[in-house]
Amino acid sequence: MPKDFLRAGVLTLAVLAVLALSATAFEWPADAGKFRYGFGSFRNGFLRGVEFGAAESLVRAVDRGELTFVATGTSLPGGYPIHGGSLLVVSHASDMMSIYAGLKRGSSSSFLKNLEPGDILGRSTAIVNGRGVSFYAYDSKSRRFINPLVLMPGIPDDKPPVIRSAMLSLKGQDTVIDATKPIRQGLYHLLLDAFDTTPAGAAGAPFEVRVLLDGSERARVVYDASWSAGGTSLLFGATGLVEDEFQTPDGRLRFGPFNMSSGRVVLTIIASDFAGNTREQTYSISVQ
Amino acid sequence: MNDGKGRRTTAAVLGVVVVMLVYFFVFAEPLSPELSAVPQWKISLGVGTAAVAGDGGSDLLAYAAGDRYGYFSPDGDIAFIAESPAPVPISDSSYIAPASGKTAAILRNKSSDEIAPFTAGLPFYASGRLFSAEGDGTALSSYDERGNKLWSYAFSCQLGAFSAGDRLVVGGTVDGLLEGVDAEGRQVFSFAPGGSRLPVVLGVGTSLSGDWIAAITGIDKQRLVVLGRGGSDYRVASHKYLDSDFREPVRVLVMEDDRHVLYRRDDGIGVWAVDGSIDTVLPVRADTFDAAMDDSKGIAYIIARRGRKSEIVAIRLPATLLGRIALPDSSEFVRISGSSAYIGGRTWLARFDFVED
Repeated sequence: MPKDFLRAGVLTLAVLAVLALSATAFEWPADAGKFRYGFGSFRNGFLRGVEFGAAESLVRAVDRGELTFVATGTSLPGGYPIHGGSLLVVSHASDMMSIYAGLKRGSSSSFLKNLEPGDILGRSTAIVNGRGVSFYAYDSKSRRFINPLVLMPGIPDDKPPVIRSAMLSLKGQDTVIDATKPIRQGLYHLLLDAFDTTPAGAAGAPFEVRVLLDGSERARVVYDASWSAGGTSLLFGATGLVEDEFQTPDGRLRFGPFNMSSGRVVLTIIASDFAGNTREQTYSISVQ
Repeated sequence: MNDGKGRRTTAAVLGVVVVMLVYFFVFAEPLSPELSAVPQWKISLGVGTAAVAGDGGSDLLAYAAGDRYGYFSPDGDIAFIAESPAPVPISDSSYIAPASGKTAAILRNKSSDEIAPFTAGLPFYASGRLFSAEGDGTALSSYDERGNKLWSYAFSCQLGAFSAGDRLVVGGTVDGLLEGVDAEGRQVFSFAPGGSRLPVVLGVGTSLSGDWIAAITGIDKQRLVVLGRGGSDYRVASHKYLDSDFREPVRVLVMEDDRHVLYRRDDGIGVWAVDGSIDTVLPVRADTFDAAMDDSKGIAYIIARRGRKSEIVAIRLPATLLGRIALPDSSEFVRISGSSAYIGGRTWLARFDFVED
């Protein structure tokens, strides 16, 4: 256990170091930061960047860099589809890469090699198949996607996240938490439907979620990074949760398992956004 | 004085004659027979279904051009042609009928019988296998012929190159990593070619056997790297630095003979042997290309595309050009099977056979 904590701590420090080095280096690539979905939002899976929604706006380089890859069309030569019909990659200093997908066909500035901050990469387009232009910040040294929010200029936000529902799941059976109905003892997963309203008004992901049982923190996730290891998608620098185990197919968040033994258990859920707005919800559960 | 000069001239002429005789008799090579393209049939295509004679359609070939797709027989009989506003993933055995209204996309066999609903976002076929792209271009899922998900695999970041063989899938990421995945979804190797100022994988090809992998990687300088299977691992078998500065997807193919690699160059199509013993260029300028082998004749056919122009080039490997045929600009569909070429557009389909005179 101490070893795990040590490793988690080292990982967190590494991620924070990368973030600190790169902080404030990037400018928003589109819509002045009014993104539609943020890092970790459920977009048929965990969104590794941010997604914009405005049609016919310019998409710009977030920093000085070099264009290393431009692909347009329906697929790569081996048949793999190009997400959004276009993919641009810019290499920056400090081993950071910015990746842009879904630009309007034919608008990509493939003739540019060396880019200055704000150089036009192309245009966004009307949302296709529910997706707009996507932007990803990638640390090529640690091979991790970084939440762009920690690299970009701040956006005013005074709305706290929303906890829409919380359920307890035992052996695949989900129970809405109800203070008046006792549950039996067992190992439960917490299924949480929580979101934070994005600058464009959509339901995005919070930045941090904490789960406390009787005042003791039992789980904490910070939406800072995602990466893959051996073909498995992992989330959150300090914890390394498996994406498929954390995010349910319908986009809810799975925590636990937690051992619920007989008596009264106080479950507290605290969700925060990147600006620091916090929503706290407490449930008193009778366990028999 | 004149006599001496005359003798030297005679000796020189005799010398040249002897060299020529030696060249023709000792280093003789059979001349390539003439290769002709003989038209077999040409048909007009309309949307609809028709009965296919013969063995119940077991030899049907997939067709897709523009907004149309369907199946036809080698004899020119049409099984069906349908239209879709979006490209339809199709193979010789099945296709994904697009969703319409509230109806989800459906996996159907080539007789259009429903196999199963198919909900994956971005399905595609490669090497006859059904996959879907996931994770915003960073992941891959594989499916069986019934549409059941077999496995999923997450790459480090977005793929810039992809190739599938019968037993191996290789993804090349835009941050310069090559990862191989076996038929069970297990990682069999992860390799960063490096050696360039900026890491990126621009193109990758794997042999059908999965024994060889070739990739174009890096910027400044760009590299061709060939990996070969050694036991349970893959090792660099050969490599070379290139003069190119591509920053877009680059076609790389490992030929069916498990020996030759074809790759895009500025000045043509490069031909490289997996062990590095061959390094030559075919004078065929192409933005992208495909290739097929006719083992019975030992001839390779390259379908080369450059802008709207396309042509079929017949070669004997490594780089003996046998002939080339320019195709009509509307040839969106080109397929080689054995020594037969099927070409077509949105409203027409034709076949011609290559024959040696």
